[in-house]
Amino acid sequence: MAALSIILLVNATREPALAGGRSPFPTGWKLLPILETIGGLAGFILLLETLGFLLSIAVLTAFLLRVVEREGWLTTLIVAVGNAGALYIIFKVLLGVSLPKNTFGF
Amino acid sequence: MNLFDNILMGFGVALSAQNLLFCFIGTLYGTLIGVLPGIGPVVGVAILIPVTFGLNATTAIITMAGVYYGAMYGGSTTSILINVPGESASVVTCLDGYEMAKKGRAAPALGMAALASFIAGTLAVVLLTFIAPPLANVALSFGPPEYFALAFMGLTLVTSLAGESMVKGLMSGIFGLIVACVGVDAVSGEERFTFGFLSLLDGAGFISVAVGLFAVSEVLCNLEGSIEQVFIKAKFSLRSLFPNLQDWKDSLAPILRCSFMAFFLGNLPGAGATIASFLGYAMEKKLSKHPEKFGTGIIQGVAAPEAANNAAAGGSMVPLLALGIPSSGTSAVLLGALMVHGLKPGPLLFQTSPEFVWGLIASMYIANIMLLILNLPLVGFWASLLRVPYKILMPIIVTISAVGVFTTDNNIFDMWIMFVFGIIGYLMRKLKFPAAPVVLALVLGPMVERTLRQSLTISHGDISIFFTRPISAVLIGIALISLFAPLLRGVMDWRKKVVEIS
Repeated sequence: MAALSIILLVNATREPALAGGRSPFPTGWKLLPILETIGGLAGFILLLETLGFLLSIAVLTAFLLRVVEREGWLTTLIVAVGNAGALYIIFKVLLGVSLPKNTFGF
Repeated sequence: MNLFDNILMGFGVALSAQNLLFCFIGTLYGTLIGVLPGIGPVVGVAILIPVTFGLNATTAIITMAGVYYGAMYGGSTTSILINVPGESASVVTCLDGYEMAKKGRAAPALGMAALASFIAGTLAVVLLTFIAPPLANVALSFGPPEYFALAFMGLTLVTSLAGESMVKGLMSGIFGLIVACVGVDAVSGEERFTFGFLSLLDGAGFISVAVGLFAVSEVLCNLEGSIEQVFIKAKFSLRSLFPNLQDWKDSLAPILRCSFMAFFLGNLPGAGATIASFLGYAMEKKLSKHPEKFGTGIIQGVAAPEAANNAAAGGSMVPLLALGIPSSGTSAVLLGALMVHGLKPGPLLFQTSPEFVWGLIASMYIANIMLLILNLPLVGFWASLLRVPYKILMPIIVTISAVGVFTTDNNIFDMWIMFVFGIIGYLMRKLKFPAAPVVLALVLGPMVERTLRQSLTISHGDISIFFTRPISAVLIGIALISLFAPLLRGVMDWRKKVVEIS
């Protein structure tokens, strides 16, 4: 362990610092879609058991398309409904997984 | 049973209607994964693990191996037509493939990519058929010290070869080992790093971590810039796809050379398909009488890397099946899938589940033929898929990942693990920490720990047990060399500089 840490230390000093000194992270408005996606995913996980599978998938898909990617409403609607339906068919109908339901039973 | 009987039995398994169907689905889906930029084979296989839960183990792994192969075939299409690699192993194919497409020779380039992939893929499976069983036999005599040494070597080689910086690779590997510690200690029964979460008693789920690290982080990275697409239009009649005689003359030797080189490279832990394709291209450039022509759109420049990445994918199945040690990110995920399906990877696999091993090997022959058929006449269809914008794909990838992770255990907590590792993966990518060592360490971690403890129990705590047994001594030696090599090289460089200055 000690030997290894010494190797690491020696090597680390030989590494060039971040090339050009610029941070690799996007700043300002470019950061927005990333934060939106992370937030959307967190919201999805939180609401999954309340909204039920179909609804929450559709909402997440719509959110990602409309808010993050700024697609038009029509595309958003078609993809959201199609995606939720397709996933439901794959996982529920074909694979028989029990998916979370909302109080209305879907 | 001799080899021939085994292969026959394997084909018996692989040719059953169900396995054929799923092999086809796997190769189809794999080609799709390969064609679409932004999702690679690791993500494709990781997402598939939960989906294949309901299937029996053999069918499930046949499907996933098909995905791995399919991605290698499909990746070249994107490279040639839009100069964006469909996955990392096709990066080099862009160099000459796109140039060929610009010259109006997209069709033969695509055809040669598929044919080179087929030749290399088939050669690799043949080699695998003959090499894996004897290797597994040798490995049967391995005790815990040998396994520890093997896993140790795998870890150090992968971590030191992955990514640009060895320090970052090692840090990723050690992070993975720490994550592997989460859960109940197998020996003492103590809880480790569970922070009071009941769901963490079983450890951080492998699938959740892998999907988070690869799929979610990939999506986050792609959100920053749109993938630039300059689509080259080309007509594909079946005849135009076949390379002409001169093309064959130029390509056959490179294909064969690259197949053998990449297969054995793929056997080594750490050298996956990506490295093999780079090496194959470099090797051909060096051997060529006209190295200056590489990069201007010559057919060898397409054939060599495409042969190399397929042969390496086949080669990486050797240590996976014979030793239970993965040699790349994708095979680490495959190994995880084996365990999820209740198979115990290792040399005993050939004896305990022969129908699985031979069925899988036979399915690889079939998968290669399917892929050739899928890729030659249907290449126009795959090319048209490239018009689907990434914007539409992104939400689909996110939702499939989330649902897939959920279905592994019907547990919301797994989705949170995926969520956290998605963010960690994003940060790692941005700071240029490779993700593959984390997954590899997570898969190998429990084995490293178990064999280390067993070995030390055998030797009553004496660490010399790893150095006095010949096989483990050699393996540990290789590991140490791979760790110290850059340092030695560094010292030499430094000395050279000193000499130059003085």
